[in-house]
Amino acid sequence: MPNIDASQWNPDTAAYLLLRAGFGHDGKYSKRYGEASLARKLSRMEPEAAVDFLLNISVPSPTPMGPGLFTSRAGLESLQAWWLQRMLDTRTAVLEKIVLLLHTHFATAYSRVNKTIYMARQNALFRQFALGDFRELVKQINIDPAMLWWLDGQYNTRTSPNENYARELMELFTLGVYDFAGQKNYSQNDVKEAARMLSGWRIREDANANLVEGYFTMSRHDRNAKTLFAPDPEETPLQNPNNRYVEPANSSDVALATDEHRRLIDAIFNHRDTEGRPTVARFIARKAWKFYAYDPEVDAGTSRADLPVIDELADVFQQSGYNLKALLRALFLRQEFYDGRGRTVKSPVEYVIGSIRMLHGRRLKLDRFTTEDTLITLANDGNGGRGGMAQMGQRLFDPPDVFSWKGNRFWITSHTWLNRLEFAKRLCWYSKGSLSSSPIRPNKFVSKQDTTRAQVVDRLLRLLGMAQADTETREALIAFLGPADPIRPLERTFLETRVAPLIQLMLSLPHYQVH
Amino acid sequence: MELSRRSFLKSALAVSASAAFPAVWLRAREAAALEACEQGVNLVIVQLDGGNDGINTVIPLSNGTGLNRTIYDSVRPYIGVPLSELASTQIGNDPLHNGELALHPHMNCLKRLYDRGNVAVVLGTHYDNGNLSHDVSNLIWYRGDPTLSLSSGGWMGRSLDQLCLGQSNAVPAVDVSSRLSPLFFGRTPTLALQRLSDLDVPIPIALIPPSQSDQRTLFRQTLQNVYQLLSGSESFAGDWAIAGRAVLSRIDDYRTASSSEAENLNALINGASDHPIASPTRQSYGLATGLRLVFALMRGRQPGNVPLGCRIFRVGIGGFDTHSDQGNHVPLSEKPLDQKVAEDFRGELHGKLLHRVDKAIAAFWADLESVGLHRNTLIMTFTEFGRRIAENGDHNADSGTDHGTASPMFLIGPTKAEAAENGPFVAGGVYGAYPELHLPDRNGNMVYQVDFRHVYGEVMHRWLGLSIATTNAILGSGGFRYSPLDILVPA
Repeated sequence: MPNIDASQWNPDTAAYLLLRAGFGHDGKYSKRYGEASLARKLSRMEPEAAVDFLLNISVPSPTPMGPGLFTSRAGLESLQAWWLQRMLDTRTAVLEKIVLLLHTHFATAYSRVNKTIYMARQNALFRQFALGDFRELVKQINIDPAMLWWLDGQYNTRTSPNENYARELMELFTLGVYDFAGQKNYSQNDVKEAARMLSGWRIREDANANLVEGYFTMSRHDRNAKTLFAPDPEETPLQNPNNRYVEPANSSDVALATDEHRRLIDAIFNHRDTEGRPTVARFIARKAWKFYAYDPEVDAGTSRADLPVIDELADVFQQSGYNLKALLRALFLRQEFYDGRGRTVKSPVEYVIGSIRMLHGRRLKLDRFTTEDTLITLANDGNGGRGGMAQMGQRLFDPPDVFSWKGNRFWITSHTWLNRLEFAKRLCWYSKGSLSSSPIRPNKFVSKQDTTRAQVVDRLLRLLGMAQADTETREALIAFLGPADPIRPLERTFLETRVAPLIQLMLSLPHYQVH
Repeated sequence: MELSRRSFLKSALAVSASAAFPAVWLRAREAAALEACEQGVNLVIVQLDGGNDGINTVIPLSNGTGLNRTIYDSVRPYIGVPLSELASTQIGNDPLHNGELALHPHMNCLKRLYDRGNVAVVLGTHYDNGNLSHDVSNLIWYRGDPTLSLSSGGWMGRSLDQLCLGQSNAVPAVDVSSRLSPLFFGRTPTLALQRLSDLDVPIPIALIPPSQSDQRTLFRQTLQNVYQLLSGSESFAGDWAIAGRAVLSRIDDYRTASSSEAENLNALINGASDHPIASPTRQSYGLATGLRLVFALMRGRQPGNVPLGCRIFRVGIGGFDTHSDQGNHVPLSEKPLDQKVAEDFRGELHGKLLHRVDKAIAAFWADLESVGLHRNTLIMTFTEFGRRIAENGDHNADSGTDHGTASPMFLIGPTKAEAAENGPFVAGGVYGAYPELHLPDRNGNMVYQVDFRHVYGEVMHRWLGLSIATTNAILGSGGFRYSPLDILVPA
């Protein structure tokens, strides 16, 4: 059962695709497509056509580059707000979502780099390759200024090799320490050899030319021969002999030496694991599956769970020349993708952006909630130090370390719990006696024809992607709206003291924290 | 059910027995054991994050029958600490080769505690085929599972699941962090917090007026009911429900701690001037501040204070990944400690970290002593790995040490004389064996001497009172069986 069957393709599955591929159904779309929501529009297409509709993005992505970011005073905040605004407003949420995946994957933190322009440039690089050639992206990442700074590439020289980037390149960005059979993909010696291949790169910047780049210095480069992926009796005795790569000594050819880091990436992408499979394709396919669908290991307790799915995705990925769009297309069409509801914890970005977008109904004015100042607050600690994404455990452009945000169970603590509830309160906040001052408008979630509490609850459950909540929870929410039917849906007290708190309550429930 | 939990959660039982604890808890056998140790036990886990350089923490002074000092001098010409600086922090000898050992000169406070018999140093702890990745090695220490083949829960989380069996409302542990450490992963609610003021369930703005008190109560009840409903579910939504329930069930304890108590706690956390080990920079030390919060939470259970029921804590201090600029030791005769503190230990990165660990733990211990809590509290340190035997680079200020294997652990607790009546205590001294520096593995790293799980086992069995069978079930991957080290003497 590889791909989703047309018979199962409906507004519910389409809404789930929008939730996972982007940040959820967005009220803004409704305007553009008339009364029909985007989910309904997609559900009327064939699944393949619907996925292509989302992935075929013709508009070029704007980049966060600007001379203003060069000044030493330019804080990270403006860049954070810029990206959040993109996520909130864009019609191409799919692009923002995969840029988030790439940022999570190549985790680089402002806390060490300390240069906003470097972080902006890296984000622009992700945008450039987000739906393109992943292998080329890794080659660019090798010499990306933020990465050269973050993992000490700029200090990696002939006389004083630094293994930091080389190790993470293999461990976290491409191969993984172990393959799916539990065998080591590379040895400590391979890390050393890779570091030597990468030696000699530094960073230069020119604010007048709006330029930041990595550049190569032959005198700092290790010109001796290097050998990668030779079997190592103590660490990788089963290393596939075809993986072996030899870079000959090079005493004078600067152009050849400048491209050496690219040949390293080619050698890494040619690596086959001890089961003969393309190691990088498997590693990345699994990572994407974890990010967009769920982590198979959580339930099964073994990394081999769902391996047939991952291998099929890996094959598509490899055969497409490591094209990320091809990988996503195959992924979003899998039946298993739609079977895995509730098996992933929303990241703080997904929680916050998704909530705002999903409650951002037609004609609503969220603008006062999404000014640059508010977004900056939201990206960091929140008002009064509470309710911001950093307090929920995710500060954009600033992952805790190179291992990045680990997701799922790691998002769940009493501290993050309180901060998500605080955000829900902020979103449902309004000034006394002036419901229209609220970022959300409770009257938009009721219909004047509503006579029962269940009608209101069910509409909100659908809207927030919680339609699969258990009956006891549903009953409890109905009871919260009042003791009995019929209701008077447009009565102000009902909207203020029942519907608005109900929305806050729902954003606070366990069901809403997962997708 | 685990029958040997003995003293654990004793005072939580005393304050909320009717609400939180099933009657089965009060069976005669257990009640007798509970009475045996008046106060129950507390455990504070201190994590040195990044891989602490154990060789410069417990330093060889002489070779004994081995070669450790000779190797030390030859491979650490820059970062090595000279003999002349180590006389005043000497501790017991290496049990393997009988070479003399000393703590780093900045660990003079722990040395004082060592002399009083409060400190056990376990040399050479690690595991087979030491993994050089921070991430993987940390996971191994968090799970207590070098094979990473057992449950994904943490060793402490799984211990708590056993210790709190049947107590659905117990919140026995606090991680002083905004991120819950995986060592607490399990089914038992654990709080992660950095400030007490963090705890306040957001109530809808519309329900704040007194006229809305019924609906306000309903909001809180609905929240609580749905969380209760889901917390049995084996899913991420269930995990989320457990985290929320920890706050919902404890929050009133904290909030009814009343403003005066909150002020009291804040004063405790912030105040330093009246403290026995006043240090000008104390407040900026994350570890010291974290331990001060732990003390406040523990003290909350004292008579007259608010019962919080938390007994297990973790506090971390980062920065131990000293690949470069690890620094050398400037003799205290050339530069007194005050001056070093004022200069933020310029050029002595690792020495600064050890200074902070030493002063924070000593201040915490003094806090405990001031109210008698040292009688039933154990501190255990750990780090994901030690570092390379030889320093790297050109033997200058840039030099540091790369990822390694074994490192010592410290257990700090009451002596027999100090321990609560019939309570467990620490037999201070040096345990394990110093890895032989002249016989490194092929990466230039030490060969470890003691499986770290024996130390965990010692804490689980002899301090927390878990049975040996349970201890082995939690730690027993790859055929491991805990054998007592006799560092802790049970009640």
